[in-house]
Amino acid sequence: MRHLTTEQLVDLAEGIETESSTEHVRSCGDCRRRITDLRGTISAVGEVEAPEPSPLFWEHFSARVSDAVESDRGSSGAAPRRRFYLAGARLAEWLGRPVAAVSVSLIVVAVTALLLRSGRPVPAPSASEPVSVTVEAPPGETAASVDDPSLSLVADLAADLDWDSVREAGLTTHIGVDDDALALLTAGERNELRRLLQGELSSSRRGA
Amino acid sequence: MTSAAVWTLSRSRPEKRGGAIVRREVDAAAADRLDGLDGLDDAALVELSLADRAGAFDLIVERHRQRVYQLCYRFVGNHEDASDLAQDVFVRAFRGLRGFRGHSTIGTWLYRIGVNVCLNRVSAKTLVTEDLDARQHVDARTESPADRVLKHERAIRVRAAIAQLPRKQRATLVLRIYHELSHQEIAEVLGSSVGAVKANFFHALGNLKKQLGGQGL
Repeated sequence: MRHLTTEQLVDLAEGIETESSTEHVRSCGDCRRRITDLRGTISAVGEVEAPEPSPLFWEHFSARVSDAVESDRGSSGAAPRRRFYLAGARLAEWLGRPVAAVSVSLIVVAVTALLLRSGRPVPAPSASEPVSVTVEAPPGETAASVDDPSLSLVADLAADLDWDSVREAGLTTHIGVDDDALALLTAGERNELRRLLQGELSSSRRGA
Repeated sequence: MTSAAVWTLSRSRPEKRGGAIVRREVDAAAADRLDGLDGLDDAALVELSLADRAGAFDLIVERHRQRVYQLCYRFVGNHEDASDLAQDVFVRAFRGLRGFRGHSTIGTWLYRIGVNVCLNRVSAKTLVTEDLDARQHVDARTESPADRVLKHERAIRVRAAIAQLPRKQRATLVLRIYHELSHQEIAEVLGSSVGAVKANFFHALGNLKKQLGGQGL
């Protein structure tokens, strides 16, 4: 007896039947078993799902592709000077992130220290539409306890800085920066963040 | 004594008014770029992309990004690499847009680029699968923790087995089972015949059966 070919077996496993192959399968246990095996494997493999990224990811993905395409277009068609500029910009961006993060942290600490020392608000330079935010120290923590001598160095360093210079240097942060940072986290980092937040929530509930 | 500090912030930079506002502005800019393009088919978008019409290629990306990402994920098994590879696929597609003759759909063409990019990557890099629970949407109402663990373990075994398949068998299996391409379409993607695709599919299933046979397949 001549058995079915691999093509015929695949067709039958996928439900495509022809008269001759169907007739053969009725009388051939070997081919029937092979078709059952193929169907079982297809089904088992098909059950493995791929994850669906969040809508936030797609937003960032499209932006990333757009940037990459733009950069690619620039580097392939641009003059060497332009290519040098693009490479420099990328290097500056790469170096700039940690530097900016450290700078913002230093400035925030310094300004906080200065404010707590003086006990008065810092005037807003060119504040066309000022917004006031009141930050209260945790109970038991007074201005004196925050008035750490080690902050003096930071305060001295930041003494000559004015808001416009800080802003022009791109060292300010903005609302929504946490969203952006969240989108850049890996799965493991998000899990860790979730764990920390849940820990905080449950301890605050216990406290309440 | 409780001390209080009052912060006064400038809002003189309109683009720094807040994440939500910035995002709406970005969305509005994107919508402007895509204005009038939405009803066009892929072939027309390719023409407009070649004519440097802003937003045309963005729309191609938007239409196909999910399938391209899923394809890459099936090859590399983790979000990080899949995301990078999917981006690479679109950059290569943009570079090669002038060479797209329209003999196949742009979806098939993107799959072809995707398969090549992925096969080049996975041959150079060991498959790194991530914790599925970290990414997969699991319906906790219908799935018990025990079921979830079993499913997770089975998925890891199947992925590892697929990763062991020869390149063409792996590509055929992924495109057929997960992307539901016809044998004809797979033949176009892989540049082979329908007969060869069916043979590869058959052998891929046989090899998987051998590898997973003793593990509750």
